[in-house]
Amino acid sequence: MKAQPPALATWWLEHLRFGVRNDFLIGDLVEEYGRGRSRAWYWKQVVAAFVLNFGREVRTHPLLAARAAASVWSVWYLDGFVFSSSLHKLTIPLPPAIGFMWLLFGCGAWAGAGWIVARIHGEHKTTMVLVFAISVLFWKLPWFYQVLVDTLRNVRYGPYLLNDFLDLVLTSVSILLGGFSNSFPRNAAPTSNQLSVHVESEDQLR
Amino acid sequence: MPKRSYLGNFELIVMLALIRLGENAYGVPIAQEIEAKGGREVSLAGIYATLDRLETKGLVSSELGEPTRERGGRAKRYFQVTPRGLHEVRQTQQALKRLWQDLPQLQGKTV
Repeated sequence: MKAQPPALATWWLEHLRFGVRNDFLIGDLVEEYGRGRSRAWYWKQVVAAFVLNFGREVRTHPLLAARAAASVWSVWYLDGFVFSSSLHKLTIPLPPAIGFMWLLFGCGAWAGAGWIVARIHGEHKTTMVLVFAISVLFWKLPWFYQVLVDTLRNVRYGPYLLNDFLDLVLTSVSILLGGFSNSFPRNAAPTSNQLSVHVESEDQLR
Repeated sequence: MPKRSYLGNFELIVMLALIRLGENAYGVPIAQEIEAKGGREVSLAGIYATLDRLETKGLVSSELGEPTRERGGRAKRYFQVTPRGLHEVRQTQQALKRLWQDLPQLQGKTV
C-alpha cells in the first residue's frame, strides 16, 4: 500500500465541511490513493469537493449567504465612518508606530468580524465566512484595480499598489483565521503517523 | 399533460452505473464504472452530490458499511436504486427513445 495521503488535504476536508460529514468521501479518496492515485489527483478531488459543497450550500441557503455578504457593510461603516474618520480628524502627523498599531487593529477587527459571522451561522459557518471574505474582496477590488491602472501609467504609485495588495491579503487572512479559529485543532494538522495510529485504533476496536 | 421532471444527464449516468453495479455500489466503483463505460473523468464529490439529490427524491437509498483499514478506518456508504428510481429510469429511457426516432441527422454515418 502507498504512503499516507496528503495530511493537510484530509484535514481540510474533515474540518472545513459544509454542514455534512465527509467521512465516506474521505474514505473513498484514501482507498483510491492507496491504489496508486497521485497526490495531484487527491488534491484535485479535495478542491472539487470544497467548491461543489460551497456552491451547493449557497444555493440551498441564499438568505443566509445574503446576510453574510450584507454584514460586510456594517463592518465597513464601523471602520470607515467611525474609526477612520476619527483618525483623519487628527491634524498632527501620526508616527509610524501608530500606523503599525492601526494596521494590527484593522486585522483584529476583520478577524473579529469573521469570528462573529462564524458564531452566528453555526453549522453553515464555513460557507458564510467564505461568502463574507469573498464579499470583502469584491468590495475592495475596484480600489485595487484603480491603483493598479495608476501604477501601470506611473510607477510612483507602486508603494500604494503594494499597500493595497497587502491590505487585500491581510484582510482575507484575518477573516479566515477569525472565522475558522474554532475549526483548528489544539495541535497542528495530523501527521502521517497520527493517521496511522487512527487506523490501528479502529482495528483494535473491531 | 401532467408535468413531470426527467432525470438530468449526470443523474441518469449515475443511476445506470448503480443498476450495473448492483449491491457493491459505493463511491469508488461508481466513479470507476462511469469512467470506464462513460468515458469521462468524474469527481467523487460530484457523484455524492448527485446521489444525495437522488436520495432526497426517493430514487436511491443508502446504508453504511463497515469501516476498513484501507480507507483509514472510515465506513463505505452503499447505494441502491429504489423501485421508484427504476421506474424513473425506464420513463426517461422511453422518453429518450421517442425523441431519438425519425431523426435523419442522427442516422447513418457519424460526424
